Amino acid sequence: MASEQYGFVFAVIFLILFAGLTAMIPVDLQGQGGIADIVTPVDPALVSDFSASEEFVKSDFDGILSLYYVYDGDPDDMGYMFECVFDLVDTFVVGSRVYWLGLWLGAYDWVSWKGPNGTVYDITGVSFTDIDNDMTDGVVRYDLTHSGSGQDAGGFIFYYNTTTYTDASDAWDSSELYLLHGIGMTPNTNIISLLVGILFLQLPDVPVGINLLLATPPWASVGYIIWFLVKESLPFF
Amino acid sequence: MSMTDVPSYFADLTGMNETTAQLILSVVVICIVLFPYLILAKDKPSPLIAVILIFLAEAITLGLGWSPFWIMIMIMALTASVLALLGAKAVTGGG
Repeated sequence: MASEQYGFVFAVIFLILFAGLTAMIPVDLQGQGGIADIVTPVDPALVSDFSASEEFVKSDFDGILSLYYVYDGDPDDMGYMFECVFDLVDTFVVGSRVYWLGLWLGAYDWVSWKGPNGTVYDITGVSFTDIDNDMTDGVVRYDLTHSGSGQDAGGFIFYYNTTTYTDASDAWDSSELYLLHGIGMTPNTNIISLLVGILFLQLPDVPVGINLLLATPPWASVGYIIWFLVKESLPFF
Repeated sequence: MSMTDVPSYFADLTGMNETTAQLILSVVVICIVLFPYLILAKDKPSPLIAVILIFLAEAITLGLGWSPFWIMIMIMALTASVLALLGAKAVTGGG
């Protein structure tokens, strides 16, 4: 009996301390952010704070000039649709698939773009002219927000070699206008999302086996507490 | 060369991959911090102080970008376990 109480007290204290200590991890220590594979030198400050990123050029897009990519370990399991319709309306558009009960019925949550000067472009996207106007030394970064849900959709960077090409459109045609989309710009600052990530094997950039190892002690403690409380509340045990 | 790049150079020097180099260098830093305490307190080292020292050393290596984030969570779990053992012993009288 005494050892069961000891186990119960241990489990309760462990859970409280584990949650408290994990919540106290400084934001700056929660990962270094993704390191983008960059062909042309870009100011590192522009591509920092991403937990995952993907880079594209024109040749990566398929025949209908759209591209679908799902990030590994995306905590929201959110797929991103990259659609370029420059032949029609000359803009870049980004959206993510909207799922209904786990099914995708063809709906997208398109994003709005906030440029470095504070200019906001709506879901119709940014054009080559917008990109050229916003660029400094061949680089521009936009912050994306889903127009439907209002959630952060990461950042989008366009860059090209200004010594080789005169404008973004010129670089795009030669498949040397690089599009870099990064997610996870906002560090994980709240205890709930971090703990949920640990408990439900959804920590970004952490192998599932390691995540399982991290999740086992808290789950074991929860199980022990439930078992102990049920056992103590039943008179015939 | 910045401190963050040290594992990369170490990996190039030894021919190992960068992750292994990061982990080895992190262990070296932790040992540098921990061993003096273990030598000084060889009669009766306190697990709590050892865990706190490991935590501090890990914070340094994490800040330098040498070790992955999940190691910090593991050390949090280790620290919570040691403190919970002490707490449970104090509350129940040792089980």
